[in-house]
Amino acid sequence: MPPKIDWSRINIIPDYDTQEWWDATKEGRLLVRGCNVCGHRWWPPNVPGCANCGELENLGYVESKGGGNVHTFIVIMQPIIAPFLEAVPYISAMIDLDDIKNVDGNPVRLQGVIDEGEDKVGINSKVELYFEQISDDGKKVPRWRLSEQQPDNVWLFPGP
Amino acid sequence: MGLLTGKTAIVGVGETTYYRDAKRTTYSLGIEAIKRAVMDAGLELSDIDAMTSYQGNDSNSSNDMAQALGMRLNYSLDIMGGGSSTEALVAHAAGLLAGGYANAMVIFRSMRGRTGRRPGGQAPSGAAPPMTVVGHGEPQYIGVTTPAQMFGLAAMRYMHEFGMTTRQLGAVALTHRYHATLNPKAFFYQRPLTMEDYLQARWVSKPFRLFDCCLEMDVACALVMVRAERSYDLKHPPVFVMGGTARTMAESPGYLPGRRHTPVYHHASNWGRNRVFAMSGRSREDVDLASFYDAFTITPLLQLEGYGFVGPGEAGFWYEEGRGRLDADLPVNTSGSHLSEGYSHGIQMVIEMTRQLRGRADDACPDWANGSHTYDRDEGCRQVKKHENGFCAGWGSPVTSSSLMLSRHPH
Repeated sequence: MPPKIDWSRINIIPDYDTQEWWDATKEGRLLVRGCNVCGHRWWPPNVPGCANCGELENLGYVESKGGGNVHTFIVIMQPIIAPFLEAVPYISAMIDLDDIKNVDGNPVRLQGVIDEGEDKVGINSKVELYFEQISDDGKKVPRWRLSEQQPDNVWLFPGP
Repeated sequence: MGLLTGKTAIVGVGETTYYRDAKRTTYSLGIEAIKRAVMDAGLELSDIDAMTSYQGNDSNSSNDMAQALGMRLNYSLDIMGGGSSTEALVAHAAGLLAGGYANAMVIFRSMRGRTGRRPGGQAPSGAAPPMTVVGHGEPQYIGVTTPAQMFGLAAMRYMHEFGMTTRQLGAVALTHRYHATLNPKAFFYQRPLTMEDYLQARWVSKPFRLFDCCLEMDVACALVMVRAERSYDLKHPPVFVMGGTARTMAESPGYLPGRRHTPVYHHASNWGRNRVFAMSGRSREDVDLASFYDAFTITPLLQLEGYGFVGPGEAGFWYEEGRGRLDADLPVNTSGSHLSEGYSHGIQMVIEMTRQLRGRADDACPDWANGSHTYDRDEGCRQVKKHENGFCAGWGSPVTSSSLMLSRHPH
Protein backbone atom coordinates (compact mmCIF):
# COMPACT_ATOMS: atom_id res chain seq x y z
CA MET A 1 0.00 0.00 0.00
CA PRO A 2 1.61 3.32 -0.94
CA PRO A 3 1.82 5.68 2.03
CA LYS A 4 -1.19 7.95 2.42
CA ILE A 5 0.08 11.47 1.76
CA ASP A 6 -2.30 14.39 2.22
CA TRP A 7 -1.22 16.91 -0.36
CA SER A 8 -3.86 19.39 0.74
CA ARG A 9 -1.60 20.12 3.71
CA ILE A 10 1.16 21.60 1.60
CA ASN A 11 1.06 24.46 -0.84
CA ILE A 12 4.11 24.67 -3.08
CA ILE A 13 4.59 27.98 -4.83
CA PRO A 14 7.18 27.80 -7.62
CA ASP A 15 9.61 30.68 -7.92
CA TYR A 16 11.81 31.94 -10.77
CA ASP A 17 14.22 29.05 -10.30
CA THR A 18 11.57 26.33 -10.24
CA GLN A 19 8.59 27.33 -12.42
CA GLU A 20 9.83 25.45 -15.46
CA TRP A 21 10.48 22.32 -13.44
CA TRP A 22 7.00 22.32 -11.92
CA ASP A 23 5.39 23.04 -15.28
CA ALA A 24 7.05 19.91 -16.67
CA THR A 25 5.61 17.83 -13.86
CA LYS A 26 2.13 18.78 -15.09
CA GLU A 27 2.99 16.84 -18.23
CA GLY A 28 4.43 13.96 -16.23
CA ARG A 29 8.02 14.84 -17.09
CA LEU A 30 10.95 14.70 -14.70
CA LEU A 31 13.50 17.35 -15.56
CA VAL A 32 17.08 17.45 -14.38
CA ARG A 33 19.01 20.74 -14.49
CA GLY A 34 22.12 20.86 -16.57
CA CYS A 35 24.83 23.00 -18.05
CA ASN A 36 24.90 23.38 -21.83
CA VAL A 37 28.54 24.40 -21.77
CA CYS A 38 30.23 21.55 -19.90
CA GLY A 39 27.54 18.89 -19.74
CA HIS A 40 27.30 18.80 -15.95
CA ARG A 41 23.94 17.67 -14.54
CA TRP A 42 22.73 18.20 -11.00
CA TRP A 43 19.97 18.01 -8.43
CA PRO A 44 18.00 19.80 -7.06
CA PRO A 45 16.80 21.68 -10.13
CA ASN A 46 16.46 25.05 -8.42
CA VAL A 47 20.22 25.47 -8.16
CA PRO A 48 20.81 28.24 -10.72
CA GLY A 49 24.48 27.86 -11.52
CA CYS A 50 26.88 25.21 -12.73
CA ALA A 51 29.15 24.12 -9.90
CA ASN A 52 31.51 22.52 -12.37
CA CYS A 53 32.36 25.37 -14.74
CA GLY A 54 30.69 28.42 -13.23
CA GLU A 55 28.28 28.99 -16.13
CA LEU A 56 25.24 31.02 -15.05
CA GLU A 57 23.44 31.80 -18.33
CA ASN A 58 23.61 28.87 -20.72
CA LEU A 59 21.84 26.33 -18.54
CA GLY A 60 19.02 23.99 -19.44
CA TYR A 61 17.22 20.77 -18.60
CA VAL A 62 17.34 17.16 -19.66
CA GLU A 63 14.50 14.75 -19.14
CA SER A 64 14.95 11.61 -17.11
CA LYS A 65 12.80 8.50 -17.41
CA GLY A 66 13.16 8.36 -13.64
CA GLY A 67 14.29 4.77 -13.21
CA GLY A 68 17.04 4.26 -10.72
CA ASN A 69 18.33 2.42 -7.72
CA VAL A 70 18.27 3.14 -4.03
CA HIS A 71 21.54 4.53 -2.64
CA THR A 72 20.29 4.92 0.91
CA PHE A 73 16.98 5.32 2.72
CA ILE A 74 15.25 5.86 6.03
CA VAL A 75 12.00 4.57 7.45
CA ILE A 76 10.13 7.46 9.01
CA MET A 77 8.18 6.28 12.02
CA GLN A 78 7.08 9.60 13.52
CA PRO A 79 4.27 11.74 12.17
CA ILE A 80 5.99 15.11 11.97
CA ILE A 81 5.61 16.61 8.50
CA ALA A 82 2.23 18.04 7.65
CA PRO A 83 1.36 16.07 4.51
CA PHE A 84 2.82 12.87 5.98
CA LEU A 85 1.05 12.66 9.31
CA GLU A 86 -0.91 9.59 8.28
CA ALA A 87 1.71 8.18 6.00
CA VAL A 88 3.96 6.65 8.66
CA PRO A 89 5.73 4.39 8.39
CA TYR A 90 7.06 5.45 5.02
CA ILE A 91 10.37 5.18 3.23
CA SER A 92 12.18 8.16 1.78
CA ALA A 93 15.23 7.30 -0.24
CA MET A 94 18.17 8.74 -2.12
CA ILE A 95 17.88 7.39 -5.65
CA ASP A 96 20.62 7.22 -8.30
CA LEU A 97 19.09 7.83 -11.70
CA ASP A 98 19.93 5.28 -14.40
CA ASP A 99 19.93 7.64 -17.33
CA ILE A 100 21.52 10.91 -16.21
CA LYS A 101 25.17 11.31 -15.22
CA ASN A 102 26.95 14.31 -13.82
CA VAL A 103 30.19 15.65 -15.23
CA ASP A 104 32.19 13.11 -13.21
CA GLY A 105 30.24 10.27 -14.79
CA ASN A 106 28.37 9.61 -11.57
CA PRO A 107 24.61 9.13 -11.56
CA VAL A 108 22.58 12.18 -10.64
CA ARG A 109 21.12 11.46 -7.25
CA LEU A 110 17.79 12.75 -6.00
CA GLN A 111 15.31 11.83 -3.28
CA GLY A 112 11.80 10.50 -3.20
CA VAL A 113 9.18 8.55 -1.35
CA ILE A 114 8.92 4.89 -2.25
CA ASP A 115 5.62 3.08 -2.19
CA GLU A 116 6.68 -0.17 -0.58
CA GLY A 117 7.91 -0.88 2.95
CA GLU A 118 11.12 -1.95 4.62
CA ASP A 119 10.40 -5.60 4.11
CA LYS A 120 11.02 -5.07 0.42
CA VAL A 121 12.91 -1.80 -0.05
CA GLY A 122 16.61 -1.53 0.66
CA ILE A 123 19.91 -0.31 -0.70
CA ASN A 124 20.29 -1.38 -4.36
CA SER A 125 16.55 -1.77 -4.88
CA LYS A 126 15.51 -0.89 -8.43
CA VAL A 127 12.75 1.70 -8.63
CA GLU A 128 10.60 3.24 -11.33
CA LEU A 129 8.98 6.65 -11.53
CA TYR A 130 5.38 7.71 -11.58
CA PHE A 131 3.70 11.04 -10.93
CA GLU A 132 1.02 12.04 -8.46
CA GLN A 133 -1.01 15.23 -8.73
CA ILE A 134 -0.75 17.44 -5.67
CA SER A 135 -2.64 20.61 -6.53
CA ASP A 136 -5.57 21.90 -8.56
CA ASP A 137 -3.31 23.69 -10.99
CA GLY A 138 -1.99 20.34 -12.14
CA LYS A 139 1.38 20.19 -10.40
CA LYS A 140 2.61 16.66 -9.79
CA VAL A 141 5.32 15.20 -7.64
CA PRO A 142 7.59 12.39 -8.72
CA ARG A 143 6.96 9.18 -6.80
CA TRP A 144 8.73 5.87 -6.95
CA ARG A 145 7.81 2.22 -6.63
CA LEU A 146 9.81 -0.96 -6.87
CA SER A 147 10.46 -2.24 -10.36
CA GLU A 148 9.35 -5.74 -11.24
CA GLN A 149 12.88 -7.06 -11.57
CA GLN A 150 15.14 -6.70 -8.55
CA PRO A 151 18.87 -7.42 -8.26
CA ASP A 152 20.21 -10.13 -5.94
CA ASN A 153 22.08 -7.73 -3.70
CA VAL A 154 19.29 -5.70 -2.12
CA TRP A 155 20.37 -4.82 1.42
CA LEU A 156 17.45 -4.50 3.82
CA PHE A 157 17.66 -2.71 7.15
CA PRO A 158 18.67 -5.43 9.59
CA GLY A 159 17.04 -3.80 12.62
CA PRO A 160 18.65 -4.57 15.95
CA MET B 1 50.69 27.81 13.88
CA GLY B 2 47.96 30.39 13.26
CA LEU B 3 48.34 34.13 13.69
CA LEU B 4 46.00 34.18 16.65
CA THR B 5 46.97 30.90 18.25
CA GLY B 6 47.03 31.31 22.02
CA LYS B 7 46.22 35.02 21.81
CA THR B 8 42.80 34.72 23.44
CA ALA B 9 41.28 32.64 26.20
CA ILE B 10 37.93 31.49 27.51
CA VAL B 11 37.70 32.80 31.06
CA GLY B 12 34.06 32.44 32.05
CA VAL B 13 31.28 29.95 31.42
CA GLY B 14 27.73 29.70 32.62
CA GLU B 15 24.36 28.22 31.92
CA THR B 16 20.85 28.08 33.30
CA THR B 17 19.26 24.86 34.40
CA TYR B 18 18.47 22.52 31.52
CA TYR B 19 14.70 22.71 31.69
CA ARG B 20 12.05 20.44 30.24
CA ASP B 21 9.77 23.47 30.43
CA ALA B 22 11.42 26.65 31.59
CA LYS B 23 8.21 28.69 31.81
CA ARG B 24 10.50 31.60 31.04
CA THR B 25 11.36 33.51 27.92
CA THR B 26 14.60 33.16 26.00
CA TYR B 27 15.26 36.73 27.10
CA SER B 28 15.09 35.81 30.76
CA LEU B 29 17.13 32.65 30.25
CA GLY B 30 19.73 34.46 28.19
CA ILE B 31 20.52 37.21 30.64
CA GLU B 32 20.88 34.69 33.44
CA ALA B 33 23.37 32.61 31.49
CA ILE B 34 25.36 35.67 30.51
CA LYS B 35 25.48 36.98 34.04
CA ARG B 36 26.62 33.58 35.34
CA ALA B 37 29.40 33.45 32.78
CA VAL B 38 30.58 36.95 33.62
CA MET B 39 30.56 36.20 37.35
CA ASP B 40 32.37 32.94 36.67
CA ALA B 41 35.08 34.94 34.92
CA GLY B 42 35.49 37.21 37.92
CA LEU B 43 34.50 40.18 35.78
CA GLU B 44 31.84 42.84 36.21
CA LEU B 45 28.89 43.07 33.82
CA SER B 46 30.17 46.47 32.75
CA ASP B 47 33.45 44.90 31.64
CA ILE B 48 31.69 43.23 28.73
CA ASP B 49 31.98 45.32 25.58
CA ALA B 50 31.18 42.79 22.87
CA MET B 51 28.61 40.13 22.35
CA THR B 52 27.63 37.61 19.76
CA SER B 53 25.11 34.83 19.54
CA TYR B 54 23.55 32.28 17.25
CA GLN B 55 19.96 31.26 16.84
CA GLY B 56 17.36 29.82 14.53
CA ASN B 57 14.84 32.64 14.61
CA ASP B 58 13.96 31.52 18.10
CA SER B 59 15.78 33.91 20.42
CA ASN B 60 16.79 37.46 21.27
CA SER B 61 19.58 39.68 20.09
CA SER B 62 22.85 40.61 21.75
CA ASN B 63 21.56 44.17 21.95
CA ASP B 64 18.51 43.01 23.88
CA MET B 65 20.72 41.15 26.32
CA ALA B 66 23.14 44.05 26.71
CA GLN B 67 20.38 46.51 27.45
CA ALA B 68 18.86 44.30 30.13
CA LEU B 69 22.27 43.88 31.76
CA GLY B 70 23.32 47.50 31.59
CA MET B 71 26.15 46.86 29.14
CA ARG B 72 27.31 49.32 26.49
CA LEU B 73 28.75 47.28 23.67
CA ASN B 74 31.36 48.24 21.11
CA TYR B 75 30.48 45.26 18.98
CA SER B 76 27.56 42.93 18.53
CA LEU B 77 26.54 40.39 15.96
CA ASP B 78 23.84 37.72 15.94
CA ILE B 79 23.97 35.00 13.38
CA MET B 80 21.55 32.42 12.08
CA GLY B 81 23.19 29.19 12.90
CA GLY B 82 23.08 25.85 14.56
CA GLY B 83 25.55 23.50 16.01
CA SER B 84 28.52 24.63 13.96
CA SER B 85 28.22 28.11 15.36
CA THR B 86 30.00 28.15 18.70
CA GLU B 87 33.40 27.16 17.35
CA ALA B 88 32.95 29.57 14.46
CA LEU B 89 31.97 32.40 16.80
CA VAL B 90 35.00 31.64 18.99
CA ALA B 91 37.14 32.15 15.90
CA HIS B 92 35.25 35.36 15.25
CA ALA B 93 35.79 36.55 18.81
CA ALA B 94 39.49 35.71 18.71
CA GLY B 95 39.92 37.98 15.72
CA LEU B 96 37.95 40.83 17.19
CA LEU B 97 39.69 40.65 20.55
CA ALA B 98 43.17 40.33 19.12
CA GLY B 99 42.37 43.12 16.70
CA GLY B 100 41.38 45.46 19.49
CA TYR B 101 37.74 45.80 18.48
CA ALA B 102 36.69 44.49 21.86
CA ASN B 103 38.13 43.70 25.27
CA ALA B 104 35.71 41.16 26.72
CA MET B 105 33.30 39.26 24.54
CA VAL B 106 30.34 37.10 25.37
CA ILE B 107 29.09 34.31 23.16
CA PHE B 108 25.64 33.00 24.06
CA ARG B 109 22.83 30.75 22.93
CA SER B 110 19.40 31.03 24.48
CA MET B 111 16.71 28.66 23.31
CA ARG B 112 13.50 27.02 24.25
CA GLY B 113 14.29 23.97 22.23
CA ARG B 114 11.60 21.93 23.85
CA THR B 115 8.71 24.27 24.55
CA GLY B 116 9.39 26.85 21.89
CA ARG B 117 10.33 26.37 18.30
CA ARG B 118 12.00 23.03 17.77
CA PRO B 119 14.91 22.41 15.45
CA GLY B 120 13.24 20.48 12.65
CA GLY B 121 10.27 22.79 12.78
CA GLN B 122 7.77 20.90 14.82
CA ALA B 123 5.45 22.90 17.04
CA PRO B 124 5.54 22.23 20.79
CA SER B 125 2.16 20.57 20.83
CA GLY B 126 3.41 18.13 18.25
CA ALA B 127 0.94 19.45 15.72
CA ALA B 128 2.21 20.08 12.23
CA PRO B 129 0.18 22.87 10.67
CA PRO B 130 -0.26 22.96 6.89
CA MET B 131 2.81 24.31 5.20
CA THR B 132 3.50 26.71 2.40
CA VAL B 133 6.78 26.38 0.59
CA VAL B 134 8.20 28.68 -2.03
CA GLY B 135 10.56 27.20 -4.52
CA HIS B 136 11.27 23.61 -5.29
CA GLY B 137 9.44 22.19 -2.32
CA GLU B 138 11.92 19.45 -1.73
CA PRO B 139 12.66 18.32 1.04
CA GLN B 140 9.04 18.78 2.01
CA TYR B 141 7.49 16.72 -0.76
CA ILE B 142 9.83 13.85 -0.07
CA GLY B 143 8.85 13.77 3.57
CA VAL B 144 12.30 14.51 4.92
CA THR B 145 12.78 17.77 6.76
CA THR B 146 14.25 17.04 10.14
CA PRO B 147 17.90 16.53 11.00
CA ALA B 148 17.07 13.09 12.39
CA GLN B 149 15.84 12.05 8.99
CA MET B 150 18.69 13.61 7.08
CA PHE B 151 21.29 11.99 9.23
CA GLY B 152 19.44 8.73 9.12
CA LEU B 153 20.17 8.63 5.41
CA ALA B 154 23.89 8.91 6.12
CA ALA B 155 23.72 6.38 8.94
CA MET B 156 21.90 3.80 6.85
CA ARG B 157 24.46 3.98 4.04
CA TYR B 158 27.29 3.84 6.56
CA MET B 159 25.75 0.73 8.09
CA HIS B 160 25.57 -0.87 4.66
CA GLU B 161 29.17 -0.03 3.75
CA PHE B 162 30.92 -0.76 7.01
CA GLY B 163 28.67 -3.24 8.76
CA MET B 164 27.99 -0.86 11.62
CA THR B 165 25.17 -2.10 13.82
CA THR B 166 22.55 -0.20 15.74
CA ARG B 167 24.21 -1.63 18.84
CA GLN B 168 27.25 0.43 17.93
CA LEU B 169 25.05 3.50 17.70
CA GLY B 170 23.85 2.40 21.11
CA ALA B 171 27.44 2.40 22.34
CA VAL B 172 27.60 6.11 21.60
CA ALA B 173 24.41 6.70 23.56
CA LEU B 174 25.70 4.60 26.46
CA THR B 175 29.09 6.31 26.58
CA HIS B 176 27.69 9.82 26.63
CA ARG B 177 25.03 8.74 29.13
CA TYR B 178 27.67 7.33 31.44
CA HIS B 179 29.29 10.74 31.53
CA ALA B 180 25.96 12.43 32.16
CA THR B 181 25.46 10.26 35.23
CA LEU B 182 28.42 12.13 36.72
CA ASN B 183 27.14 15.61 35.82
CA PRO B 184 24.73 17.20 38.31
CA LYS B 185 23.43 19.54 35.58
CA ALA B 186 22.51 16.74 33.24
CA PHE B 187 18.97 15.62 32.59
CA PHE B 188 20.12 12.04 33.12
CA TYR B 189 22.27 12.69 36.18
CA GLN B 190 22.63 9.42 38.07
CA ARG B 191 20.43 7.65 35.50
CA PRO B 192 22.46 5.18 33.48
CA LEU B 193 21.35 3.63 30.21
CA THR B 194 21.66 -0.06 29.43
CA MET B 195 21.93 -1.55 25.98
CA GLU B 196 18.60 -3.23 26.62
CA ASP B 197 16.96 0.13 27.37
CA TYR B 198 18.50 1.50 24.22
CA LEU B 199 17.38 -1.34 21.95
CA GLN B 200 13.85 -1.47 23.29
CA ALA B 201 13.12 2.22 22.97
CA ARG B 202 10.76 3.32 20.23
CA TRP B 203 11.86 4.02 16.68
CA VAL B 204 12.02 7.62 15.55
CA SER B 205 13.20 7.19 11.99
CA LYS B 206 15.07 4.00 11.23
CA PRO B 207 17.90 3.46 11.93
CA PHE B 208 17.39 5.84 14.88
CA ARG B 209 15.57 5.03 18.06
CA LEU B 210 14.68 7.41 20.87
CA PHE B 211 18.10 7.39 22.52
CA ASP B 212 19.88 8.01 19.24
CA CYS B 213 18.45 11.51 19.33
CA CYS B 214 19.45 14.50 21.42
CA LEU B 215 17.44 15.89 24.28
CA GLU B 216 15.57 19.00 23.29
CA MET B 217 15.50 21.35 26.29
CA ASP B 218 14.92 24.95 27.28
CA VAL B 219 18.28 26.40 28.26
CA ALA B 220 20.67 29.29 27.82
CA CYS B 221 24.47 29.05 27.90
CA ALA B 222 27.20 31.64 27.64
CA LEU B 223 30.95 32.02 27.69
CA VAL B 224 33.34 34.95 28.00
CA MET B 225 36.57 35.47 26.08
CA VAL B 226 39.36 38.00 26.59
CA ARG B 227 42.85 38.53 25.25
CA ALA B 228 45.42 36.21 26.78
CA GLU B 229 47.16 38.95 28.79
CA ARG B 230 43.91 39.80 30.55
CA SER B 231 43.16 36.19 31.38
CA TYR B 232 45.92 35.64 33.91
CA ASP B 233 44.32 37.75 36.67
CA LEU B 234 40.82 36.36 36.54
CA LYS B 235 39.09 33.68 38.55
CA HIS B 236 40.10 30.46 36.83
CA PRO B 237 43.09 29.11 34.94
CA PRO B 238 42.65 30.41 31.41
CA VAL B 239 41.76 28.06 28.59
CA PHE B 240 43.50 29.26 25.45
CA VAL B 241 42.01 29.26 21.98
CA MET B 242 44.57 27.59 19.74
CA GLY B 243 42.74 27.38 16.45
CA GLY B 244 39.99 25.66 14.60
CA THR B 245 37.77 25.78 11.58
CA ALA B 246 34.82 28.07 11.15
CA ARG B 247 32.27 26.28 8.99
CA THR B 248 34.29 24.36 6.51
CA MET B 249 32.22 22.95 3.67
CA ALA B 250 32.58 19.61 1.98
CA GLU B 251 33.06 19.33 -1.73
CA SER B 252 29.50 18.26 -2.25
CA PRO B 253 27.45 20.66 -0.20
CA GLY B 254 23.97 19.93 0.93
CA TYR B 255 22.22 17.40 3.04
CA LEU B 256 20.58 16.30 -0.13
CA PRO B 257 22.58 14.66 -2.86
CA GLY B 258 25.03 17.18 -4.15
CA ARG B 259 26.71 17.95 -7.37
CA ARG B 260 29.66 15.68 -6.93
CA HIS B 261 29.83 12.26 -5.37
CA THR B 262 31.28 12.62 -1.94
CA PRO B 263 30.10 9.71 0.19
CA VAL B 264 26.79 10.67 1.68
CA TYR B 265 28.15 10.14 5.22
CA HIS B 266 31.14 12.42 4.80
CA HIS B 267 31.17 15.68 6.63
CA ALA B 268 32.98 18.87 6.05
CA SER B 269 35.31 17.59 8.77
CA ASN B 270 36.83 15.36 6.17
CA TRP B 271 38.07 18.55 4.56
CA GLY B 272 38.71 20.60 7.70
CA ARG B 273 40.90 18.19 9.55
CA ASN B 274 44.30 19.40 8.54
CA ARG B 275 43.45 23.02 9.13
CA VAL B 276 42.69 22.72 12.81
CA PHE B 277 45.73 20.64 13.71
CA ALA B 278 48.15 22.76 11.73
CA MET B 279 46.79 26.04 13.03
CA SER B 280 46.77 25.01 16.65
CA GLY B 281 50.18 23.40 16.75
CA ARG B 282 48.57 20.34 18.28
CA SER B 283 48.33 16.87 16.78
CA ARG B 284 45.64 14.28 17.33
CA GLU B 285 47.97 12.52 19.75
CA ASP B 286 48.14 15.69 21.86
CA VAL B 287 44.40 15.70 22.37
CA ASP B 288 43.49 14.49 25.85
CA LEU B 289 39.74 14.78 25.58
CA ALA B 290 37.31 15.59 22.83
CA SER B 291 33.74 16.46 22.15
CA PHE B 292 31.94 15.44 18.99
CA TYR B 293 28.60 17.04 18.26
CA ASP B 294 26.02 14.48 19.22
CA ALA B 295 22.68 15.61 17.86
CA PHE B 296 22.38 11.94 16.89
CA THR B 297 24.55 8.98 17.67
CA ILE B 298 25.83 8.81 14.12
CA THR B 299 27.43 12.25 14.14
CA PRO B 300 30.20 11.49 16.67
CA LEU B 301 31.10 8.40 14.67
CA LEU B 302 31.36 10.36 11.45
CA GLN B 303 33.35 13.17 13.05
CA LEU B 304 35.73 10.79 14.83
CA GLU B 305 36.55 9.48 11.36
CA GLY B 306 36.28 12.80 9.60
CA TYR B 307 38.96 14.36 11.77
CA GLY B 308 41.13 11.28 11.44
CA PHE B 309 41.06 10.01 15.01
CA VAL B 310 40.17 6.59 13.61
CA GLY B 311 40.08 5.17 10.10
CA PRO B 312 37.03 4.80 7.86
CA GLY B 313 34.46 2.40 9.28
CA GLU B 314 36.26 2.05 12.62
CA ALA B 315 34.34 4.49 14.77
CA GLY B 316 31.48 2.18 15.73
CA PHE B 317 33.93 -0.42 16.96
CA TRP B 318 35.94 2.22 18.81
CA TYR B 319 32.91 3.32 20.78
CA GLU B 320 31.74 -0.26 21.28
CA GLU B 321 35.09 -1.07 22.87
CA GLY B 322 34.51 1.74 25.37
CA ARG B 323 37.42 3.81 24.12
CA GLY B 324 35.53 7.05 24.62
CA ARG B 325 34.86 6.56 28.30
CA LEU B 326 36.28 8.80 30.97
CA ASP B 327 39.42 6.82 31.77
CA ALA B 328 39.88 5.19 28.37
CA ASP B 329 41.84 6.21 25.25
CA LEU B 330 40.11 9.50 24.49
CA PRO B 331 37.32 10.64 26.83
CA VAL B 332 34.53 12.15 24.75
CA ASN B 333 31.56 14.38 25.52
CA THR B 334 32.32 14.35 29.19
CA SER B 335 29.23 16.27 30.30
CA GLY B 336 26.88 13.79 28.66
CA SER B 337 26.45 16.43 25.99
CA HIS B 338 23.47 16.74 23.66
CA LEU B 339 22.37 13.15 24.00
CA SER B 340 22.22 13.06 27.78
CA GLU B 341 22.88 16.43 29.40
CA GLY B 342 20.45 18.43 27.29
CA TYR B 343 20.56 20.14 23.94
CA SER B 344 22.18 23.55 23.74
CA HIS B 345 22.89 23.53 20.03
CA GLY B 346 26.59 23.13 20.59
CA ILE B 347 27.85 25.68 23.07
CA GLN B 348 27.77 23.24 26.00
CA MET B 349 30.60 21.24 24.47
CA VAL B 350 32.93 24.22 24.59
CA ILE B 351 31.76 25.05 28.10
CA GLU B 352 32.41 21.55 29.41
CA MET B 353 35.76 21.45 27.65
CA THR B 354 36.69 24.70 29.40
CA ARG B 355 35.75 23.33 32.80
CA GLN B 356 37.68 20.13 32.20
CA LEU B 357 40.81 21.88 30.98
CA ARG B 358 40.71 24.11 34.05
CA GLY B 359 40.69 20.97 36.17
CA ARG B 360 37.40 22.22 37.59
CA ALA B 361 34.72 19.91 36.28
CA ASP B 362 31.62 20.57 38.37
CA ASP B 363 30.98 17.16 39.80
CA ALA B 364 30.35 15.50 43.16
CA CYS B 365 33.84 16.15 44.50
CA PRO B 366 33.37 18.55 47.41
CA ASP B 367 36.20 20.86 46.39
CA TRP B 368 35.75 20.71 42.62
CA ALA B 369 35.69 24.51 42.39
CA ASN B 370 39.31 24.65 43.44
CA GLY B 371 40.31 21.83 41.16
CA SER B 372 40.50 19.15 43.79
CA HIS B 373 39.29 15.78 42.52
CA THR B 374 39.27 12.18 43.71
CA TYR B 375 39.00 10.62 40.22
CA ASP B 376 36.77 8.07 41.87
CA ARG B 377 33.95 7.57 39.37
CA ASP B 378 31.84 5.62 41.84
CA GLU B 379 31.91 8.69 44.05
CA GLY B 380 30.77 10.90 41.19
CA CYS B 381 34.01 12.45 39.97
CA ARG B 382 33.83 13.54 36.33
CA GLN B 383 37.25 15.19 35.98
CA VAL B 384 39.50 13.82 33.25
CA LYS B 385 42.95 13.10 34.70
CA LYS B 386 45.08 14.48 31.90
CA HIS B 387 43.57 17.67 30.58
CA GLU B 388 46.14 19.72 28.69
CA ASN B 389 44.50 19.88 25.26
CA GLY B 390 40.86 19.53 24.27
CA PHE B 391 39.22 19.28 20.86
CA CYS B 392 35.64 20.27 20.08
CA ALA B 393 34.01 19.24 16.84
CA GLY B 394 30.85 21.24 16.29
CA TRP B 395 27.96 20.14 14.14
CA GLY B 396 29.12 18.20 11.19
CA SER B 397 27.16 18.10 8.03
CA PRO B 398 28.22 18.26 4.44
CA VAL B 399 27.67 22.01 4.41
CA THR B 400 29.32 22.92 7.61
CA SER B 401 31.73 21.68 10.22
CA SER B 402 33.39 23.84 12.79
CA SER B 403 36.07 22.80 15.21
CA LEU B 404 38.08 24.22 18.06
CA MET B 405 41.31 23.30 19.78
CA LEU B 406 41.64 24.52 23.34
CA SER B 407 44.68 24.24 25.57
CA ARG B 408 45.99 25.04 29.02
CA HIS B 409 49.10 26.35 27.36
CA PRO B 410 49.13 29.25 24.90
CA HIS B 411 52.12 28.01 22.90
